[in-house]
Amino acid sequence: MIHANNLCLSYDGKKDIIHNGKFHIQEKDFVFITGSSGSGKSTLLKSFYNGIKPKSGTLLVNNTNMLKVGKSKIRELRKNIGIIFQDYKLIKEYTVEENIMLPLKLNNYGDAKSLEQARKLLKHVKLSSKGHCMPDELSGGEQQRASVARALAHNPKLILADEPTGNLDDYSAELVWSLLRKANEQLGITVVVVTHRIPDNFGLSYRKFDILSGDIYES
Amino acid sequence: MSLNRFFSFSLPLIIMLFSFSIYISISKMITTYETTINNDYSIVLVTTTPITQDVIKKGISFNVKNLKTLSREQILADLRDDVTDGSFALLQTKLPYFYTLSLQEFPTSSSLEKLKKELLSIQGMKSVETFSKDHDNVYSLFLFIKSVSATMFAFMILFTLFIISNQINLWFYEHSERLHIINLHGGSLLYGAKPILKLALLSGLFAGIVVVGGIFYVQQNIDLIFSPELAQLITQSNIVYTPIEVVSIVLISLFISFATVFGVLIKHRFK
Repeated sequence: MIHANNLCLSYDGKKDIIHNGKFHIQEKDFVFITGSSGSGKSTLLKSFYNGIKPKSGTLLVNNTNMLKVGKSKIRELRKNIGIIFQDYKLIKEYTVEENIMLPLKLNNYGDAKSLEQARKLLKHVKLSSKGHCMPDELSGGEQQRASVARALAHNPKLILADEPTGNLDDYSAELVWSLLRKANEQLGITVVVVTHRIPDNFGLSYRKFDILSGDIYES
Repeated sequence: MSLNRFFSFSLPLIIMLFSFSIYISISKMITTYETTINNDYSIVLVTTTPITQDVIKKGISFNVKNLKTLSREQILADLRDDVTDGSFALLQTKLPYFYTLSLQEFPTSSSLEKLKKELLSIQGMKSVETFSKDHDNVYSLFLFIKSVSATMFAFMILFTLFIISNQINLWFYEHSERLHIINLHGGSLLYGAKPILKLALLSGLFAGIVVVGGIFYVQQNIDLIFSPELAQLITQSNIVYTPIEVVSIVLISLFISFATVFGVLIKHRFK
């Protein structure tokens, strides 16, 4: 699914944030990327959807070479990934339902099919009654569940989550973790999560990458 | 789509289209005026020997419409009672030949001078009398108004492009977060810009329809809107918009609207 060799990431082209990263994430893996603040864990996740272009080395995501990828190929790659952010990134002009329909519409599902799938997912994330609400009418936990529903909507092979529970209380956080666990366990989706704290008793086998001074260690 | 943004798109387009229709109307008035005076005026030629249209055609660089011979007999008959028998006999032998010359296009004052020179260089040409200078003054005034309206139209295009592109930039700024999220999910800039394209389509159509409606209203109510003198001039000029011109006004509106949106889109794509 994701293959990196001698991967170097840098914002200014000089100082490496990730240095000679080497790892291989298999299909159906559940991976945590941890590290202290500013260690580069979010930057590494960003590189998986080409939010940052690698400086050097090899990075293959879904067999797409991220060093040589063009704009249209990036769009194709992103269409097949589900992304979850700490700040939810729901479109505030869209209803919750329309937000969930976004990846479906981008993947050319018809309006009716998109709506049907969005409603199914709203039920799955326990937001059935909130479909017509605007995102700012929802609590943080509800917004993040809507964001998870959006990430799952088009049955992606890969979900990338950047601090998905960073802004949530324990109850909401557990709901999000359970949704991600189910996605991995029941749907076989590869999940890569950036977090600075892995929940206790996660209840699922996972792999853990630690970033320390720009180097990636698997533990 | 806010009403405010809709009108900030439509109003510059409406102003631009009105200035375009003013330019079209003035062009039509000039064309009608040219046709009218082309039919009214004639250049009088006086020659010592009879002359034909072919000789004139060969001698000048203008397109000759026709050459009419003025009847010598009629001229002599008109003078018969005013002169003595001796003078009349002398007139009969000495009276030159008179013609009226019409051209296919309306000459300006400078081309009229050139024409006069060319005519006088034809063998046997004694005198050339061009038409009243008044026509030329009116025509010059029309041409001046036409160039003013063309300049105004050009300025209005620039003004419209400036206003609309500013509005689009503002829209991109306001919706940058939405566009960013769509981009993160693999959506193209064009997909994200669907609302602004819809706005361009609706405001372009609206502006076109308003201006076409305005033109029809003015055409139906010329007497109410303009002073009697101007109304008469407009009526005589027969400014009627053909269906092609009506469609072209709407198309210009849509073209300007979409071209501006796509211009800004391309700019943002390469940012």
